[in-house]
Amino acid sequence: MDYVLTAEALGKHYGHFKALDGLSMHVPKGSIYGLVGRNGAGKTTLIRLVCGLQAPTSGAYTLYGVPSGDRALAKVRRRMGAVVETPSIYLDLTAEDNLKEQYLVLGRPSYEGIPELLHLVGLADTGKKKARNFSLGMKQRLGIAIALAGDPDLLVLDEPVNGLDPQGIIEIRELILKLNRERQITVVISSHILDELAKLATHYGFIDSGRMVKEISAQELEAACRKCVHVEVTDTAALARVLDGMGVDYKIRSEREADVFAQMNVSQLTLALAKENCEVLSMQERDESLESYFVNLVGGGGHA
Amino acid sequence: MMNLLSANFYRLRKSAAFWLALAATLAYTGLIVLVCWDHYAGGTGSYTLEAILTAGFGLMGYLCVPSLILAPLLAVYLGAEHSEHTIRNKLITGHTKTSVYLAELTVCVLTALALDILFMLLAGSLCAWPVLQMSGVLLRVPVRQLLAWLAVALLARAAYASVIKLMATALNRKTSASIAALLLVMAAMVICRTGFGMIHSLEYALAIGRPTAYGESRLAFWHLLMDILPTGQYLQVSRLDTPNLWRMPLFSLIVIAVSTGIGLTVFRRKDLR
Repeated sequence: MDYVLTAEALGKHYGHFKALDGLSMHVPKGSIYGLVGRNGAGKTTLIRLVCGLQAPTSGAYTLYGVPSGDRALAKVRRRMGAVVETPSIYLDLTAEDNLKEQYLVLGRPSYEGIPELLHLVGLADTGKKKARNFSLGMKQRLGIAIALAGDPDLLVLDEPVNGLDPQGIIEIRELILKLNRERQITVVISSHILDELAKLATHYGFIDSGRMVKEISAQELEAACRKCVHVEVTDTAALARVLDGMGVDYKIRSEREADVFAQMNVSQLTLALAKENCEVLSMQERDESLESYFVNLVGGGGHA
Repeated sequence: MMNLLSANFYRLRKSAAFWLALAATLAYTGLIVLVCWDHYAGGTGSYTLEAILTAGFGLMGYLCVPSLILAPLLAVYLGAEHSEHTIRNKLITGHTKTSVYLAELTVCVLTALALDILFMLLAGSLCAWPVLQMSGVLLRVPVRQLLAWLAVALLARAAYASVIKLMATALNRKTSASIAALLLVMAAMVICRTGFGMIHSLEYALAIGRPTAYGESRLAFWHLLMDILPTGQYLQVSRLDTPNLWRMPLFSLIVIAVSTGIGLTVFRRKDLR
């Protein structure tokens, strides 16, 4: 697989506090990579390192195959854009002037793309309004527009829907999907709003205590979270024979437990198992979400 | 680096603080011109251009008005990058911390020098006629002397800008940087007022032979302090009294090198949020 961003054994310490502790990460090209973790898990620290705002204490990361510490990284960074925590915008400037300033920072030869960019993020009609008078959603979209000024292949968004109203959340979601599908931009996105992330992400990275607990694709996650009936029986071998006979999809979890991925006639299944000398001990419908998957993975007691 | 410079100048042009500072500089220029014309009209003065041009660095030998104008401008301009976190946009796109720091420093120095030069051009041209009428000559000192004073004061201005840049980098916030910069320039003026007072009394005591403990050493110390401080240099130039003119640019260069070195080290080590 072609990776845009990877990290190996990445560490960042602030004094004695380990914000990142040997974190590894692999962001496939063209993906929307959702970073999931509690407050203080290390998501923002990871983003700050990747964006070059801070230097890692240990380990390394690569951007487009160029390792951190390599001089060529500065050149490669031009292929990325980011909004870290709060949008980085000049409050005394208009949306257009903010973009003009960023175009100059990037050394772009003309301001040609600015109207299109403003239109893309829905700020085409802001005119001479200063950014300080923008709503939170508008500021967020301006931050994304600035991140897009260099036509990046990789967009890093840290909590882009934090504090937004439902309409704002929908607008940002649609913008991210549009950028990913129409411009093939790889997006790394961290969010506390897991349901929202579930509507976007093609891949997930679950972070806890500065470590990557699990990386998983949306397809794998969907399979893991598939609606199922969790069955506890005295003999799963017998259960397997019966379910095979019924042509039902299932997964044996242990000698006594299995997940069955179908709506079943309970009486029919119980009778069929009785014929195989197998008793049904319990049956429970399960519908695991990203949230419950996350809680199962890293344990409760915190906030995602 | 050139991209950063053009972006920084673009933002400066759009900054309200810059236009306010320009207006304040023009108002100060207007005041000096008005005083000159008033003396001419009343027949109460005999100014020459060196006094008018060097007033751009200090009023009446004590008040550094242009420094008071520059302090909040530079602090607000520089502090915005940290307060509004826009400095991230530069680093994320591959600019190094060194180039970001040096580009900002360059813009600050050039802006400070531009305001000084604007003052000199306007005040010089608007006061030339009344000066000639009052004194019969434009200058009472050789042109080389005047150019040396102005060059020394402009270099001290660059040192002043680099100290404010260091302060803005260390403090991170435009409000705290502005307050600190204003306090710094006011403290420097108080130190210089005290320093010039000490120099005057020590020189007088030594001249009349009054016994003074460590008189020579204390005099050398106060002279050294006045020559090191950019504010001390402006005020000496504005008084047209520079006993150690030759060493002043050396001190300014040292202040620029040290403050830039410390600023770069602080900025490189800083974990930006």
